[in-house]
Amino acid sequence: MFLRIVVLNLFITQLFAISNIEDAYSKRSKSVNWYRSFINQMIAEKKYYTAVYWFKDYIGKGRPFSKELDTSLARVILAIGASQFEYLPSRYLENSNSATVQYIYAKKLMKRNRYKEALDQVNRIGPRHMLMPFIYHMKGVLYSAQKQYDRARINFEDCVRSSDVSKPREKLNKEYCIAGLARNTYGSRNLEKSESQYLDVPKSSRVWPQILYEEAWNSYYRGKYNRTLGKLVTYKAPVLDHMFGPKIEVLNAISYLKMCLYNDAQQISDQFWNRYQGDYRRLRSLLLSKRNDHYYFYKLIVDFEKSGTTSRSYLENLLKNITLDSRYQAIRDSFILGADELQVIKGFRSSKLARMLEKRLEDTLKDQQQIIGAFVRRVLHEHYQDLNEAFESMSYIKLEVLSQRKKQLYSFEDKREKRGDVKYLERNAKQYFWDFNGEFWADELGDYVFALKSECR
Amino acid sequence: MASDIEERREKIISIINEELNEVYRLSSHLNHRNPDHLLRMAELNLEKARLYRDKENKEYLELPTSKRRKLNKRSFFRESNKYFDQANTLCMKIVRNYPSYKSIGEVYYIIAYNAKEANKNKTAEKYFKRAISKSRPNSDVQLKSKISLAEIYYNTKRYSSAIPLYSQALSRHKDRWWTKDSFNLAWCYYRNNQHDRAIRKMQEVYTVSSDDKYVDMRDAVTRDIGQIYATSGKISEGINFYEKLGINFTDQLIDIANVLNREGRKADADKVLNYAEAYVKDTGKKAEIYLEQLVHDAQYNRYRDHLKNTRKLMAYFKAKKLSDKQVAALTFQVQKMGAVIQKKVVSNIYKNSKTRRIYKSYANEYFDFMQSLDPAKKSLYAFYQGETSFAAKDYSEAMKYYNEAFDRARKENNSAVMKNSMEGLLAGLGQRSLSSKEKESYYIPVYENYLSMDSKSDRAEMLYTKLFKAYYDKGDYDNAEKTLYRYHRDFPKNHKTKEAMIANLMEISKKKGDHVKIRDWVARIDAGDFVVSPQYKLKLQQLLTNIQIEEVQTKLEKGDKKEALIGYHKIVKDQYSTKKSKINAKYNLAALYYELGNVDKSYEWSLNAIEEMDAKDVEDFSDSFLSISSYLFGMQYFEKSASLSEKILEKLCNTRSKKKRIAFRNSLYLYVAENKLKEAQNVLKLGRSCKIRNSVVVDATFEIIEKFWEHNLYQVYEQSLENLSFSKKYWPKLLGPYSKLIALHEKHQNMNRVSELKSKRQQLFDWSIRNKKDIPVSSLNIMAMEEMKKLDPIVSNLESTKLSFPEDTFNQLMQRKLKLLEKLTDQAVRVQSLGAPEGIVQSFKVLINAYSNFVQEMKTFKPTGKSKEFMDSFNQAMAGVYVPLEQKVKNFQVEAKAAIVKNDILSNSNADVIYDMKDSNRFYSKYSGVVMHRGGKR
Repeated sequence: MFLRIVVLNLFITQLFAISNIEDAYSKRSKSVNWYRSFINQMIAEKKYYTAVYWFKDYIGKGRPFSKELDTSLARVILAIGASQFEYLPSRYLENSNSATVQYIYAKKLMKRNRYKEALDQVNRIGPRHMLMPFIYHMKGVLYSAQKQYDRARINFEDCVRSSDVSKPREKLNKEYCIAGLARNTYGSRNLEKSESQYLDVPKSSRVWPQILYEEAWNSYYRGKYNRTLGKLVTYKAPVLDHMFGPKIEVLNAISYLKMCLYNDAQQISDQFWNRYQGDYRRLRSLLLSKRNDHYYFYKLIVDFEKSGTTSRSYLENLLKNITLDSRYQAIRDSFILGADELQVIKGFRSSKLARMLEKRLEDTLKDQQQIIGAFVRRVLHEHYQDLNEAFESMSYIKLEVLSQRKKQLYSFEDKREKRGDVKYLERNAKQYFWDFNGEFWADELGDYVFALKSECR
Repeated sequence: MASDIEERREKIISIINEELNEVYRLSSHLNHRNPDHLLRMAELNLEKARLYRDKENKEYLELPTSKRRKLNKRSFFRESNKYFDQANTLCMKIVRNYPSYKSIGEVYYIIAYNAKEANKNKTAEKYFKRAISKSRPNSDVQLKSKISLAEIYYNTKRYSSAIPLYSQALSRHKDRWWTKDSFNLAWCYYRNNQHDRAIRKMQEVYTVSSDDKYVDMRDAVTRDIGQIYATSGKISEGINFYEKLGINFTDQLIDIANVLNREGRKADADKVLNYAEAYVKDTGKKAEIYLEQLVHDAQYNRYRDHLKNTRKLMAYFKAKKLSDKQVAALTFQVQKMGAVIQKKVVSNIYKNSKTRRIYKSYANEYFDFMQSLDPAKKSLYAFYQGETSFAAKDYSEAMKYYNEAFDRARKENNSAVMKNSMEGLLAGLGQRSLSSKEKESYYIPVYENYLSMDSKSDRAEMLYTKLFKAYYDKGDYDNAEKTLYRYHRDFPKNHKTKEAMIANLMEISKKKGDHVKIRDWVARIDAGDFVVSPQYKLKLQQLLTNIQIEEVQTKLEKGDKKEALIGYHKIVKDQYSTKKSKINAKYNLAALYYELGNVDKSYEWSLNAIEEMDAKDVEDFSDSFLSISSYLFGMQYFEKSASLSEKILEKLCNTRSKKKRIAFRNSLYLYVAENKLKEAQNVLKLGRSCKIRNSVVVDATFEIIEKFWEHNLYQVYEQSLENLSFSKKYWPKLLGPYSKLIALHEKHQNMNRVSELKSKRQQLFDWSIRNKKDIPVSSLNIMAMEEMKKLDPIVSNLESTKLSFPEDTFNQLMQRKLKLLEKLTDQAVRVQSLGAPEGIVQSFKVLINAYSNFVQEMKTFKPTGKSKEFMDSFNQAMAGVYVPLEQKVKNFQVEAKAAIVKNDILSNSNADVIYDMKDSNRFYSKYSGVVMHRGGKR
């Protein structure tokens, strides 16, 4: 339904675009210049997906990029993302004179945790590059990963400043960079400051639900377990019910544990085991049976999106979670864009060029399906890993609880339990205090604070 | 409380079960691939096992002993054993499958712990050590392993090994058992003589124990810290500690000492008591401490310490500071220790007299104490002291104590002690090592005391004699005499003893010169007051004579020779004089007369004395007698001198005295000088029978045979030669006498005898030459002259053979003469080979003459009727013969001269053989030689 509407709207305008491309193609020769101008023409006609094949071919042949061609590639990246190019072998990427290719290669290196090499790559890119807000973001992340927090901060700040919020991608980039600033500060263990910086991420941002978890950890490390619990309880709000995760449960349980509220901690642990053991097995079985069948996972998410089901199984919840992930949305949107282009190209089948472009585009889109499927599989696998670790953590939490109980018995201590008292809380200017009553108000999300008294002695 | 513990244990077990389930769930979730989970399960099983073991132990101890004895322990402890086994199995699985497991140290800890629980301490030790080395430094498991290993060391008394483990672990690990482990550490310090640390740790344990998180060890600390304070000498600190707790520490000290003592730590027990002694001021308590020390000292045979403490208590006793009970205890100890030590002295264990002496002094001191503690039996304890000293061979001291015991017993009228002490005294007096001086001081009182108790027994009889001797030796002759009378009274028939006593008393009278007294005794004996043997009676007579001799001797010593002579003469004449006295008197008379220069009297009394003296006496006085003999010789009483010497020789004949040789020579030579050949022959004979050395006798024989020759006693002379010729040794010396004898027989034409004797002489000579004996020169010359006689016929033959022509005859004659010369030369050489000086010179003389004559004959021979050429040729031929012969003559002369010079030959013929000396002056005395008389008469 969604795809259909887009195709009808675009049909007329695309008619002229193809003819311009055909013109450029008709002047074909073996010269590099013709190749560049042909690709540039496709970009000019916003046939980003169509151009992917030709860019890959050009990069693969190791030919030098002109400034114009580099700009074209940057535009492709801005339109559909870099994932299509990230899968190119490193040997094609590493020696390119193109700043955009360098950016792509840096991304690839970063995903492989080769931060220093990635930085070397991006530091080659001049400050006026079209992708600069994203490059700042990347540099911030890389410096932070290398614990160069000041440099990271400068880059995140440059990212925030340079990102144009009118452009959705850059708006999201900016939000990530705001969160990046907080994360960087958190990384430098300035927990108080990072707590404040986390609050700079607007609740409306797609990043915010993830940030909430990080905020919870920040509070945890600051020993503000009531606040941690408050942050985590936000995930129980209907709007965030998709944002479930084993890690959240674990943090929840260890917060209780830290406050020596052993019953609560044990309860979470037990519930977790009871609730997720079956799902875990099923997910494991799925991942094992399908292994690297990325198309399956592509189909899985597409079917899920098509079905629009509301009765949520564990897997469906996971899929829902993925659909709301900005990274997924980016590659999915990119794929839609490609599908639209395909529709346009198919409209001109009589043309030999059109048939050729169609064929190339279909291949690219198949790659994109693989990219989507791989992403889904990776997320599911990560979740599976989280679950696995969470089981272990939960067991340890329970064992810790039991151990503490035992310790009490060995040391003849009386049990004391008194819960929820505001006097145990500390506040700052950006936080509100609400007595937790099980209701969620959108404006209050993330600001809940528990008032439990620690039972530790 | 018990149910509370039980309930808690159940709850804990329930939690452990939950934990086990959870770990199992987790482990199975990960397909049991994580050794962490296996380890955790092992830990939980171990924990569970411990809890069950606690429970089972409690139940086990609550069972009655009889039931417990019959119980199968394995079955009873099966529940805990089951979990220990499970823990072990899991751990062994980890060790097997995951040897590089990061927490392998913890695994080893569990294995070790299980082994420890199963009382396999060696295994436990091994695994605890592994657990320590394989676990992270200062990790919980390492600390716990250290504590457990330390506990093993502690239980096996390896305190110094336990200390570092405990101290490292406990400084970091503070669990509920910290107090208990620290308490052990404190004990380790204590056992390792680190008392200050031990105390500090104990105090810390006490403080920490007040926290209910820890095992409460306060009671144990309160119980034991006192011991540490006490043994380390920190009594005042201990008192402060206990004062804070409201406990009187000093009361505990004796108990602590007793505990230590029971543990066999006597040194520590002593220390405590010593500290207590130094600290406690109250006399009563101090006495208690001393009494306790006495008990310990007695128990460990520390006699010296026991004695020291007894002395202290005796001081209290004398100051009347002891309670009746304490006195009784002290008396018991003193009595017991006295007896024990006395037994040691009496036993043969202590060969070392020094040790025995020390113990003796200890024992006697104890008996001294007993005299104070039990004054009614003072004599008995004095007797014990005597016995102890006696056993220690300190007889001097024993006598003192016995004496004291006897005196006290007499006062106490304790006949048994009196009797025993007297026995001791008598035994003491019989000991050699008791000095004479001391013995003498005891003899009289002891014997008198005994005889006051018993005067009729056999022993009393013996003691009378001893008492008599004691008085006698002391010079108390009056009491000695009285003792004789008492003895005479109690034992009237024992004459021999009385005779001896009288003899002693008379000896005194004799010494005193109290002849009156002696005569009085003799008179009383004669009167029958005392019965003595006839021999003794005679002896008494002799005694009187002796007194007389001594009187004479005294006069002589004073220089009154006249009186002495009278006195000696009296003795000689006195019928009661003993033989010895008479001999003595006779010798002294000889000596006196010798001194007075009365030759005849001296000679006469000497002969008299020698006559009666035995050989021994003569030997003793031989110098004096020989001096008298010399004196007689000096005074030219040769015969008397010879006679006296002969007498001396006779008496000394069978002795080994060297003087008998002198007497022999003196006698024999004087007789020879005096021509008393018969007497001389007798002396010679006597000399042989008295085994005078043969050489001396032979020399004397040669001396005497000359006298036989002189006195024409040829038969005796010849006989003597025959006798001497039995020994080849004298053959060279006999050549001369034989030659004389041959000459005598030749003179009397007794040629057969001459021939025999010559043959005999030749035999002697040949043997002497053969055996290279020294032959007197005169004998050699005689023998050479005999040989020379063999030259005479050759010389005659030469001289009678005259050269003549014709030529052939001449040649034959020449040849014959030359042969004769050769023969003559050979014979001369034989003569010379005898070595007789005269023979050498004479033989050369004969040769020179013979050769010279022959040369002369040849030179002067002129054949007649011969042509000049013949004559020239003849002369030339003759010169060829006589020139060498002339040279020969010269050679003979040179040789003769050389022989004369070399052998210092003095011969009348020397000049005849040395031409060079023809012109030398020769000196002759106009007088013949002077013969000295042997006796020096002329």
